[in-house]
Amino acid sequence: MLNIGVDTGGTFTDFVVFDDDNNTLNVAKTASTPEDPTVAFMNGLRELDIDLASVSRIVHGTTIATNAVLERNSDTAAVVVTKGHRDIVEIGQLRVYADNVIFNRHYQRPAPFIPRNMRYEISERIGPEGDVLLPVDDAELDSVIERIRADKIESVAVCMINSYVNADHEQYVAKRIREALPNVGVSESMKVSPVFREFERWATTVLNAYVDSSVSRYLRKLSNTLRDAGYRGELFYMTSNGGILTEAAAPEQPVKFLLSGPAAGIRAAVHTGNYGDVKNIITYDMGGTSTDISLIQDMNPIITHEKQFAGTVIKTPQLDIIAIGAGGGSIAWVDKDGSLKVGPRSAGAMPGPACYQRGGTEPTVTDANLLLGRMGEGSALGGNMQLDKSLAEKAIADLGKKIGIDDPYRVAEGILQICNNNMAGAVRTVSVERGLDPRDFALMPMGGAGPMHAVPVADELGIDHVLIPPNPGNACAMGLLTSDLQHDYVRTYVTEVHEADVGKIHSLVKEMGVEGRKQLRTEGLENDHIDIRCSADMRYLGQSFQLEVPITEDVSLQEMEAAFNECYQNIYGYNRLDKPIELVYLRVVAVGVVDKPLPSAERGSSSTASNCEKRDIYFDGSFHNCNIYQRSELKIGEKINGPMVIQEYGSTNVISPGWQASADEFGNLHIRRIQE
Amino acid sequence: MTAKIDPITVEVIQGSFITTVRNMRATLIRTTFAPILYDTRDLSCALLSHTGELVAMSEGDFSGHVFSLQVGLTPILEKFGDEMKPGDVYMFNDPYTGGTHLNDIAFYKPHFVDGKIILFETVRAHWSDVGGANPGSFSGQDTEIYQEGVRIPPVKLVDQGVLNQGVWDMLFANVRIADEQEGNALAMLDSVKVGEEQINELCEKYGTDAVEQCRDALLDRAEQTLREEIKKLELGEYYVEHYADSNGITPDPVPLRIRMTVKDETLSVDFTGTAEEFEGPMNVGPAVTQAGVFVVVKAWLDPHTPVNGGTFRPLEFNLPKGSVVNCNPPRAVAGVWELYRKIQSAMAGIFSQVQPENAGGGAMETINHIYITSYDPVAARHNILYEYPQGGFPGTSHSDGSTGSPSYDGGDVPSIYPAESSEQRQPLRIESTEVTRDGEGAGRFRSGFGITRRIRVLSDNSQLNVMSDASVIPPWGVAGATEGGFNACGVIRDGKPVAPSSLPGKVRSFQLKRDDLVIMRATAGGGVGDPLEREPELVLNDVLLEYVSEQRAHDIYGVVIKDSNVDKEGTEALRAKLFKEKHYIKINLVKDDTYDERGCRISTLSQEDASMLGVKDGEMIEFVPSIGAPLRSWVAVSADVAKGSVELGPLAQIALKIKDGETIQFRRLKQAPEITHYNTQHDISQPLNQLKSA
Repeated sequence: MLNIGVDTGGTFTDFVVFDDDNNTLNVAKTASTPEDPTVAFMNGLRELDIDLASVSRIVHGTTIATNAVLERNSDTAAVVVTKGHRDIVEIGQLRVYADNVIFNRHYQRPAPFIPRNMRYEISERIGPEGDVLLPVDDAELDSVIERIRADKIESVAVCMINSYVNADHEQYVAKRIREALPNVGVSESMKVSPVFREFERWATTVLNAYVDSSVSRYLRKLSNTLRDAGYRGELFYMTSNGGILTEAAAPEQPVKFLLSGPAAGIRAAVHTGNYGDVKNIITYDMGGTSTDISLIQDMNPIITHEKQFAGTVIKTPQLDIIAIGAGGGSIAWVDKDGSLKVGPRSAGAMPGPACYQRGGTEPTVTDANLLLGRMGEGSALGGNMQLDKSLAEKAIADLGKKIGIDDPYRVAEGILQICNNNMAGAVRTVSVERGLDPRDFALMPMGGAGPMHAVPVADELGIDHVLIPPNPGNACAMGLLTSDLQHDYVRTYVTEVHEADVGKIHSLVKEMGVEGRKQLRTEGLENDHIDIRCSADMRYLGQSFQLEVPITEDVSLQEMEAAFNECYQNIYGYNRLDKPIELVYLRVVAVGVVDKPLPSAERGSSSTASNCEKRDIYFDGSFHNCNIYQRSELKIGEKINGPMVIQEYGSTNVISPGWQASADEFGNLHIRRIQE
Repeated sequence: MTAKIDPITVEVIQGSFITTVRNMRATLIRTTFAPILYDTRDLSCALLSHTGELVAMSEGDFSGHVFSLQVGLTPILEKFGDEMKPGDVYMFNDPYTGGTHLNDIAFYKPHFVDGKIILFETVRAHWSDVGGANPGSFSGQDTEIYQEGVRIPPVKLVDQGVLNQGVWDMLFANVRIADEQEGNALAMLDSVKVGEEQINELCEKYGTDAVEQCRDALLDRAEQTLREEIKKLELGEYYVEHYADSNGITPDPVPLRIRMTVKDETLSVDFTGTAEEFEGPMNVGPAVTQAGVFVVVKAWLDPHTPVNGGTFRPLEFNLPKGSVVNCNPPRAVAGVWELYRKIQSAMAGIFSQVQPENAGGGAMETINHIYITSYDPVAARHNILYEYPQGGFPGTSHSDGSTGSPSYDGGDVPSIYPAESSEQRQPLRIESTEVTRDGEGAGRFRSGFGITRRIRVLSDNSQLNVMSDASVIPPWGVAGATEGGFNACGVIRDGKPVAPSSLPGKVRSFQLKRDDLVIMRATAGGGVGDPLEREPELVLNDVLLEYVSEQRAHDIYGVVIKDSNVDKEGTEALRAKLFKEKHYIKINLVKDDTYDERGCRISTLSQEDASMLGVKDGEMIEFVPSIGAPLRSWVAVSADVAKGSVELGPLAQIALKIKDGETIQFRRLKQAPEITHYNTQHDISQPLNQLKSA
């Protein structure tokens, strides 16, 4: 039977087809259709000549929610909130959402997702201990329900102060709205993001309500389209926590669809890494306008419980993916102080880099790669576009005049150097913020441009090992087929650990575990495919950052403290044994393990060095005549020294001098620094 | 500099400098135990050159901190310059020679390569308490520095890697919540260490020579860039007068007078005529004054290129010693950030004159420090809630300001503290947190709206300390805009307002009682241009979204709204009427400007003119030029003055760019509304627990 991963991107929709009868893999891409993504979805299946009757599983990554947020295309969401607090969703906690504020007098905060006149207040109040200070005012609730009806609201967020200790009021208000208006989607803050601190919890809930209607519509449409075309197999959706959801569970929490695209790539990285002789990986997915970075430690992707996005925050467990505003389309320019800058402005798809012949005259990173021969003139970036090197050269030479460097090749290498240094700096900051040292990691490039820059970025970071997965340009689609079903649960229990009720901890953890197993069993998973992982978020009393530490279901308080102190020591190099430790959250992740494609290499037969193509490529100030290998023809285990290029469908792997490449039996390409 | 370093290497090394600062910051935030650092982010990191010029800061750092770090290195170098060794760390917070207020403790680590200092890794962080008379260390009515905590002259905290335990023990014996402050010091040591490691790596990779050359080239380049910008400005003299509300002891305003001269490639900024230092807390050291000026220069002339000390080189300062902008020991300095922001407003007024096409309203003129503290006798520990509701961002000649935003002077500061955190920490209930309706500085382009928060006090042993400004004298709008929003912090007790202090916005040790309602309302900066020229649809939008009342739309913007639409004819008619109702007066230029004994400008008006404006003797008016900031003045009413004219001196002439015999618009300056008036949207005068029992 066939398993198909379909990843919708901005420009292309990628397909990976895995036939589990004979362990073969097929990749393809087709142009995306943003107005109705189901069109590209079905086009791709048609172009691949897929018989839907022979497909058992489809896993889909969609940008529908992300687009709804970025395009602000919804005006039918509202929020019902504790009286006196409606503006919290607007005021928020600005902080780094405003990193372009400094010295910028023209700074504009992004508009709130729900305008002020659609934030309905209700008299009610829960105290910090969970006590009811003021019951819900039913008359006010009735009139709010009437307003929701009159304003033709499609989805409502319900957000009450201190619901993290007592969600009765939220549940009551939600129930009343559902009963009165069954077609309105209702998002309760404690269901969407059951955490302490009103702004983050409510902001997440507001986003959930905001994307609710567009996600629901899309899910219905895709289901119907596939069923009408005769599909009878299972349909899954990728979510931002790196897991997949069944068709039935998917509509419950649309906020999890936000930023789910790159999550699949991380799953592919873990799958590759499991066969790739590495423990820790930094993924490096470089596209046209931005680059996504994530860290995988001990083969576990680093999770974050909070992510800033589109001027607000999403507080749900999700893979920690950091987007940097630099990519192949980043423009090199001269600032008014005469300094050479690369990005953050991008040439995008139109006009695109100068070499695209679409009227672009500003030099981009892609132009520099082309001029230096790192990218071939025939390398179509997933399309059938012809590149013009002379246009790249002209654009770069013009730039060189402005900074007083006549040699365009030197300028082009400078552009790459600045771009790579910026990206390495971002990786470094991401690591430091998480208490990690990038030198303990392998770098895994993905995306169209990643493998062109990976080696110099690794060099900059002091990383010795670059691991290129098979089909790096289709990593996200591949990741869809290597992701497991996943449900996350969290309970808030704020207490100093030494005075905690251990029975309460056990029962909370158990309760979540039971819920998770039950959910997965209804989704068809057998017990031996269910994995329950428990953890506790703790901190030293007085801190606000928690560390998430794995625990067992029958953990003792002493074990919890010891595990926290050890984890703290590992990250910060010291601990504070004199300080009380505070528990904040207990978590359970219920994983339903799915069967995954086994990796295999296409084995090259001939010795690699014979009669391959050659091209002049510029490294470190001069051109080198380099071999251009085809990846599919590499002989397993043979070590080849750079400089060189290893070419494959959708990707150009550039290996600098001083680095050595070898292919392994799983189809991975290892690039290692040659030790002197 | 010998060989010219190529621009690519400069860019790469500059990128690494900034990354290093970001990583120093991240390290401090991740390892501190103090909410004021990990939540409020009241901290900054920077790299300084061997001579004390700023080499790099990050986008999250607060300019007031960083620019002062530069000035603060001078006394350290004077004292220790020759004996500095690798592994040393110096500690400092002295406001008179380069510090800010005592809570801001700075660490400096000299970075040695081969026996030579090439850089300093530095960090400044606000400790929640550094001792002194009140929890939190400063208040709105301090009278000398000794009440504000421990003053630290340049001290060698770490000597070649060995901690000076004596200094350490003595410091932490003199502060409240000592374990938290000790955690801060450790986190700051971590931070400078991370900086040192990364600079070492940079030197290994590119060579120390290249790093030094790049450092120098960056400073030269920034200097050159600013000189080029200054050359584009119209030569000449510009002048503004501005006032802080009071000095914290008496109700007397604190006058600031700033004269800026644009020379060929330099700007000279002269504070002659500014108030003498005084017993209250509205004094500031030289570092912060310069920082306040610099923020505006940078934001106006070169906002986008990375900032460094080279940009300071074309600036000349005259800060009269012994004035409030360059005070002597032992003056209290709690008002440091209020004066810093007042200076920014004043400078915004000057630049709105220099570049009318690029004008900007007055700043949010306070950081708005509000402390509600309580002592927990069981835990033997002080609880300090530090609230800092953010104001409305000023408008510009092209854009409205944002609501509840930090200022453009930077800092990674949140807009408000989470209610659920406050309620968990202290016996308080957050009753509401709202965008202040009608709280914007009106204008053709308006400011953003400030935030109002109401907090119910649930115990009898709490006290209130406030340091703020713009509660009496609001920020100004420019080019015809009305005033910005007033700041306020008041208390409602048993349904009636009680004044926590006789001086609005300056409160010391006010004992709060159970069921008191503390109302804190944040200021808003000024707008730009006449509100009667604002696009009516934009006014309508603000009304429909419930930010602006129909009444205000009518009275201030001259917009008539009918059935949720702009009534075009009604609006035109109303605007024509309001234009006609503006008051103008003829200027008689005289030899001298008139100031009273407080240093406040006095304009003598006829009884008729005063009545026409509705002002009484001793109240304030504004002369409103069509470009730049208004000139504010107190009124003396006299029978000896002819109706329809007023005498103004030569400084007024520069401020208003006006000739003898010309007429100018003048108007009464609005006075701060009663605190009860902020209680409009919800009737929450009843404590919730009474409702519950009802």
